[in-house]
Amino acid sequence: MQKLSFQEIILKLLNFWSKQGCTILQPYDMEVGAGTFHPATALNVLGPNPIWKVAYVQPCRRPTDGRYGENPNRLQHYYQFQVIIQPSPDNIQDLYLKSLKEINLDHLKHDIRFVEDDWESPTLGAVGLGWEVWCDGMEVTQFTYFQQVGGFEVSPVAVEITYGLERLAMFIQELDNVYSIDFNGLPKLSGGKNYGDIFKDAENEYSEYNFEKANIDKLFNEFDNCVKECNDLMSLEKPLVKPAYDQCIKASHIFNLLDARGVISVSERQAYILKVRNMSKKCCSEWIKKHEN
Amino acid sequence: MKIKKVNCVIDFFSEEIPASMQIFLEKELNNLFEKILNNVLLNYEKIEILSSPRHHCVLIHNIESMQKDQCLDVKGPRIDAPKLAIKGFAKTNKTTLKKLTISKTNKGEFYFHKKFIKGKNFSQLITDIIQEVCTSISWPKSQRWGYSDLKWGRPLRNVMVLVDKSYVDGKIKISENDFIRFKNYTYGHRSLKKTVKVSSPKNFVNTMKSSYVLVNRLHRKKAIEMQISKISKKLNLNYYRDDSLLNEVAGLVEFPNVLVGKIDKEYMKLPFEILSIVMKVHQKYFSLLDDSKKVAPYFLVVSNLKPNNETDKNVVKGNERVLKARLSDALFFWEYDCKNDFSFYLKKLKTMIFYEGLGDLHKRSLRLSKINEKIGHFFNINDKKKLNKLGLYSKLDLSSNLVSEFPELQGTMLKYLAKLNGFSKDIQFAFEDQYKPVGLNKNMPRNKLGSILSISNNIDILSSFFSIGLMPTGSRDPFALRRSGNSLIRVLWFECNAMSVTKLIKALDEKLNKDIKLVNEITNFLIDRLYNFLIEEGFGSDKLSAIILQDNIDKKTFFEIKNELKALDRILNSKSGIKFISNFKRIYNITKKSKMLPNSFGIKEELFVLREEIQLYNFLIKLSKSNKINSELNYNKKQINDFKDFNSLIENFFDNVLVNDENIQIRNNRINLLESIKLNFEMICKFQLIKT
Repeated sequence: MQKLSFQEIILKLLNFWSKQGCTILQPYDMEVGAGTFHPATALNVLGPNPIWKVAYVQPCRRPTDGRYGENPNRLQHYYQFQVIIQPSPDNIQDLYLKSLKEINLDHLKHDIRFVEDDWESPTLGAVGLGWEVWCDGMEVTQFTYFQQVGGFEVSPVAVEITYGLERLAMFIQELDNVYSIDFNGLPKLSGGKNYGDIFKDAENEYSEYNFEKANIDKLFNEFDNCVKECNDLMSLEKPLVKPAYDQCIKASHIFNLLDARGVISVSERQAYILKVRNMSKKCCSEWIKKHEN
Repeated sequence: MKIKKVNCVIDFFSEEIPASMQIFLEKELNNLFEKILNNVLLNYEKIEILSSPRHHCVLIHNIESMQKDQCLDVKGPRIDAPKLAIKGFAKTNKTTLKKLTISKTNKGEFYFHKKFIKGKNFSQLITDIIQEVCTSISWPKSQRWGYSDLKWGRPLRNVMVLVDKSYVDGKIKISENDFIRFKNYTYGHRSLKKTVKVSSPKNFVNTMKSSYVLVNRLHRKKAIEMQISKISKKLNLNYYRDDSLLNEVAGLVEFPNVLVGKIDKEYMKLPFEILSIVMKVHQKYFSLLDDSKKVAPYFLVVSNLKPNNETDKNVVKGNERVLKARLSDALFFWEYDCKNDFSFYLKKLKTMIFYEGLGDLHKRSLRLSKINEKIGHFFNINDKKKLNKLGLYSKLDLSSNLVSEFPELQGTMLKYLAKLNGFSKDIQFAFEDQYKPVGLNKNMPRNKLGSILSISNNIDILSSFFSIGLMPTGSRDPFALRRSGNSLIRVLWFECNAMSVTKLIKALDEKLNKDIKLVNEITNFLIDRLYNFLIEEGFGSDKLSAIILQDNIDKKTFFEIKNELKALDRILNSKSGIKFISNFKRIYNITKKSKMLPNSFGIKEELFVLREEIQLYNFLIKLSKSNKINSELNYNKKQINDFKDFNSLIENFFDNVLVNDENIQIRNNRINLLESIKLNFEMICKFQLIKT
């Protein structure tokens, strides 16, 4: 049996969750640190739909995780497959295991373990309980029951399933190096591409940018501008919640870049996180208000 | 009539509950069921709680199937109460005036209603009991799911209740409109598609076992250990026994299947601690040792699948790959870090901020050097150069790649770097032990240098954060300063008899130890930690308070404090001691009531009237003289004699002298005398706090 390629894994998962009644969305068009930042997750779990099921792939950026393309396991840009279902169904663990079976990870043949991992996003003011899911010792998924977002109770509770796509692909294709992942399943001569062909160069360049070249003054400036714009949009007579939330996403990414540049001290760190959290809190609160009426 | 006894099993089936929470829930369920069964007056032989990641099972053995009928006397109005009230009482109890009885109590004659309560069936009661248990659990951490308002460690999915051979049909409420209805089945291992029926509570454990779930934690532990020892025998190696890992793993699997994987030779050159962190902490693998106690190139993974050659092979292969990736990361960092020398790391420390406002790590190291030099002599170590180096290099490894990747290795990495750079064994150990003891773990530094470094490390953390106003408040302690304080006190108590809190603070930089407010804050904090530590060591709180709350406790060495605690114990075991304390308390209470300002100079000899007053006064003079030389609590002849003298003098005094004399001057003079005596004894020990 031929091993599933990277894109086949994505297609199978999309197909599976689509059949479970999920709306298939596309990635959010901004730099985010995790699929959770997508407004379809961060805002929509706070209302107004009592039933909210979506799935999407989200590219994520974690500037500090870059390794110039030299580490076989670490990337500053990677993909998450995100499923969010509200209210969390009674059989969600079974559904998840079925989805793994779709990509040839049969839980009867692999040691699948749900290992305690409570999740918290300080910048989003979000808290959840759940697990990291291990497949034969490798962490492949984050599984979380959202209890709070933006400091507000999530009710009914939503469940978030985040698959680490590169990890899954490495596991399925039995590889030790992320760059060797077969991306499209074609032989080299017919245009076959592996993960490295597509991303290795970018990893190198972005690592240099993130760690060495990003313009610090400009970033600090931009951060302040985001905070200001977010406040302005929220102080309008009719606040514009989603555009304001975009500013919050932007600020969060800028903060991550500044962090990678090593210019944020320990105590300043806390202050910056707090600023972003306040922005997202405001957005969430306004979002709830708007949809109550 | 003899009441029939039944057996009962309640199975709470949930999604995977974290290992440590399983143990908590076992205890909580046990306590709650005990309490509630007592409240409903049902006797039983015993309650047994079993648990695995997905099951929490309550087995109630031989419980009475019926409550006894009860006859209660309900008290009504007095017989002379208004008719209306009496009629009302009869009505609310659904009876008539005629049927009420009259009984005498010590408050008069009252109407009574004999109320008969028919005992209920255990099966009828159990649903309410379960509901009450479910809503009474005080979780350290819990969650809602779906529409539930009820909280559980992880989503609760099924409840099965079996009383003897019949299933109980009931439900528990999880929100306004939602219930979990009890089912007549539960679930076996995840690999089993079918639900599991249980024929009777007695068969429960076995039925679950044949469904591939060992619900008894001890059975799982035994199974794991047996399999491990079988494998180690086969490989001719020894099992590296690790109870904390065994406990954790027993909480991660329901049907343990131990598999053995290989570690590539190239990774075996990594130090034991690094292998151990990756294997044990990150991957939960067990290790094997060869005859020379070196780690063998194998790992043991406890899988949660029933044995099967093909799947076992897959599982091992997957785990080997994961381990390899992690070890290759570690090896890369290890080799890179080992290439650099001390001067490289020292330079790097200067770029690492300890905390804003507290300088960089290099500056912190310099502070540690100074403290080391000042406290070395308490351990009879006077080699200033050595003490200085010990501090200067103590944080080097914090700038290594390996420690930034595996923070748990701080200290241990430094031990290896020191070894590579030719430092002696005692220094290597001291570097490694500087963070000991950690929290409740009682592992102490192995040598004196380690104790010195541990002390200077902690007192520097405390004084630094206190100096910028970041002390713990209430439940908030973001820098874990209480833990630092606990470690500090533990080392001082066990390793440094000659030290006192004051002497320790003197070893700080002048900028700090001349700041009276800061010194007071640190002193009070440390005395508070000392008190808590000694409570944990099993000292009674009243005796401790009597010693620790003395005004000059910070100036006493730990040796003196230990002696005083011992002395107090012996005093409390002696007749004259007990008598002394009750006499002391008597004068303490008199002077407390008088609300006079103490003023020993105010005692005027010419105002004494009786012989007993003068005798007591002479005793006071003697006492205050000897207190000037030594105000320590002792159990020696002198102190015992003081107590005896005092006992007879004060008893005579109270027998013959009326403190509340009509003449206010005489009265005040007497109170002054008692007050002064009280103060003089209080200097030795706060006897008033002792409960007798």
